[in-house]
Amino acid sequence: MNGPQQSLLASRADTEPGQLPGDLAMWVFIVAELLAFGLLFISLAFARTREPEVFAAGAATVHTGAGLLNTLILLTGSYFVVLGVKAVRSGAVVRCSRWLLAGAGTGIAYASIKFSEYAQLVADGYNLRSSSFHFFYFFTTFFHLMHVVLGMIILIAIAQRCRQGLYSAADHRGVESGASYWHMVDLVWLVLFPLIYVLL
Amino acid sequence: MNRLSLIWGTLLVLTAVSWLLGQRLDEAWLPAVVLVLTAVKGQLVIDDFMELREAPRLLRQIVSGWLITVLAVAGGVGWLT
Repeated sequence: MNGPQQSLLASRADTEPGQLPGDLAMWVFIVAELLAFGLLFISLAFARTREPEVFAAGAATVHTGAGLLNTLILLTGSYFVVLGVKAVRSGAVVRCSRWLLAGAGTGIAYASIKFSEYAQLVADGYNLRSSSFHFFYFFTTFFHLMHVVLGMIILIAIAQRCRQGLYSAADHRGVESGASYWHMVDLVWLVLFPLIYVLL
Repeated sequence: MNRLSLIWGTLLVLTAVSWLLGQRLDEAWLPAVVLVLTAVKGQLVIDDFMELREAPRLLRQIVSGWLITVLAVAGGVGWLT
């Protein structure tokens, strides 16, 4: 059997129903992360009912355009990573590593915008202690930012392994695991975005 | 245009629409619309980016269940009551 046929069979096997994208251990980790973020979001909502004016006034100090831009950037990063997974399934490991690095690049853009947002708020005299809103704003977005940074490290490591030929059309479970983690970071942000930047 | 780029485009458009709706939240029904749009976006990421549509059903139920529960509880408590 020659190469292309092998990769065709491998990519067909990947789309079989009931197959886990990546490792089970990664999915256990992802679900644990989702629960932690879920608790934070629900706590924020309860805190808001106690002090609606404080939250409204606090939300007015946040740059909502930065939140919009970062949502568009993370969605684009997720799309790049999906293209990376598609590439490795067809055996294009170099193309895969490029898409993964492009995904990590969106993380850098995201973090830069996040830091300029923080710098602006700190310059305006706001910090974690300014109000309940600002506590949740800084705590939740910084906790999320740490996950973006970890996601970037994972993507860069996997891109490197891709280039070293450690993944192929037949064996790319590691790529799927890393991609799944990155999509989780995106999914969490999609829920955070309306709660902090849209529903003022 | 293939399916994946269409989904990516849809996610960008729905995000921009949510943000625009947020600029005029004086209407009482707007938070509900923004939360529903968020649920749609999240499900697209779950099904087409995470590829959980093809995954073991339990995993998709857990992740989708998380999305709907968090939006319903946080939205219900914070904005819809």
